[in-house]
Amino acid sequence: MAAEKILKECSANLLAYKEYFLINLRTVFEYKTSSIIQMLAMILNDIVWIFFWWIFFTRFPLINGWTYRDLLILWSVGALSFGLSGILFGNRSKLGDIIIQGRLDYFLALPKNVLLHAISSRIGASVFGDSLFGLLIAFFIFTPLELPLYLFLSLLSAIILTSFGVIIGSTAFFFQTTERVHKVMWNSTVGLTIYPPNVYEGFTRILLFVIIPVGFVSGVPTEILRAPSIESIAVMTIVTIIIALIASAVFYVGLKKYESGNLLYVNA
Amino acid sequence: MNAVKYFFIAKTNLKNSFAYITDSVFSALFIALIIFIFSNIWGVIFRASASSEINGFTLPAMIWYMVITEAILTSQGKIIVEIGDEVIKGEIANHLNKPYNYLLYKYFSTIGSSLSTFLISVLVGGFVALIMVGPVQINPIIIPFITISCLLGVTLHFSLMSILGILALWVEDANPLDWLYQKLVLVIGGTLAPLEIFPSWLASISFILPFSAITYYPAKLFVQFGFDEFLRITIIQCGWIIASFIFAQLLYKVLSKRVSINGG
Repeated sequence: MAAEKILKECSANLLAYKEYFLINLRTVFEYKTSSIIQMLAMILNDIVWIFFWWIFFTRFPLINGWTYRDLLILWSVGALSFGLSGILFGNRSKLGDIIIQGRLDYFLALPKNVLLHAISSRIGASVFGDSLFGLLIAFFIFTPLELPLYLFLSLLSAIILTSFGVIIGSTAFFFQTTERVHKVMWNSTVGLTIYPPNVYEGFTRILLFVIIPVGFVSGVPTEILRAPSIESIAVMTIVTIIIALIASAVFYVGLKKYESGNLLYVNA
Repeated sequence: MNAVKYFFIAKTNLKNSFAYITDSVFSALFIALIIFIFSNIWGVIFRASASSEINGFTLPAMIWYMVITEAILTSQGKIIVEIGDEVIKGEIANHLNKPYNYLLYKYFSTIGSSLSTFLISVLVGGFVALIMVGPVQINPIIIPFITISCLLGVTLHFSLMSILGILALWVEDANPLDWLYQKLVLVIGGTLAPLEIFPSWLASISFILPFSAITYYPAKLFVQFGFDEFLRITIIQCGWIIASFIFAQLLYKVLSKRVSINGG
């Protein structure tokens, strides 16, 4: 009976999410020219990044065992996971701002899952550019047999990145944070995912892979794609589930502390 | 009288920026992270190479070089988006009847507010560099010259960003221009790594482009100072500033003619 209730709730949430997603998609493509410019600019932006790494690896072909191909794997996973998390949960980096500004009131009044609503009520156009860029590199560097694993790991990475966004945003429930603080925390999280993680040693390595496991966003998937094994894929999947559960728990514990503002705004 | 007016604009913005000092400190934390990451990357590279120098840079020089480049690059914020939004939304019309030159007003208010951000970035970034790789040998006498070079770099940075901000009128969204411009300065301008490590064909292109005069030259002077080099760099920076500022003024004149003010 309980299982049936959970299933019913899940399917209702999924249905609501699907409607949200379609509305967001229509909103993005309502402004076609602007959206296309943003997408192309983001692809170019990412190309400049890998061009920098090409310069770097041309001068230093091996960095702690990593070649340029490994760096491209890191970027293909990083770009697709960033893009996917932005497409599926576009407000993941804005949650803290929503809480601070008292805009969570709108989502609290709705019958479905508050967190899902809050993080999925927006999509930006540039994240499509990131996704396309990630896929484009993947088609160049992976064999057709490697692609399903790449896509699966990128999806897990997207969930981890979204979870970090939720945790960062939820700090607004507990501390007097500002929009600038959230932005720096989010940029730092993303920043750590686009540089080779194999250069860290000792405590830094423990910090990035155990304490604040941001290394699982793109570093670990890259290592798995370099040398796939069932064990490492299983660990990655379990860690993803744990981080997602922690993020959800932090949000709902924090929600109990939420104090509504008297802000009046139109959510059109 | 004109100079006094702009001096007070800069002074007021400097005062304002100190009121939001925590925001500047938080922004500088991102630079601290970048310095930390690159200290690790360069540390690995230096350990793997048999030499204590790579293209004339020691490990501390390489990291302190980045402290300066990052501080210059990030001190002013998103000027392209700021000016671009004013242009696109038509808010620029509010400046047309004011007794100042819009670009100079924008420049001096930016310089005022970015001074505190620049200093905090150097302090925070420098602190991380000190912990990670130790100090770099510099003669205190060169500090005024480095300050001039950094100020010219920041000025050129502003000038190029104002051109792109005005150009937003034609592309309707300033953000993509900002992303691409920042990346060009970051990579081609030698912010992330000195141009000496580039392949020679790319380095020779980068040397003649204005982006290198923003971050690369001032930072290179900081770690490898030479008076003749300072004079050469100052001439290059001034040349680019004059050329880009004249171009920005011309664009602004074209823009002003296209502004149509409706009542309301």
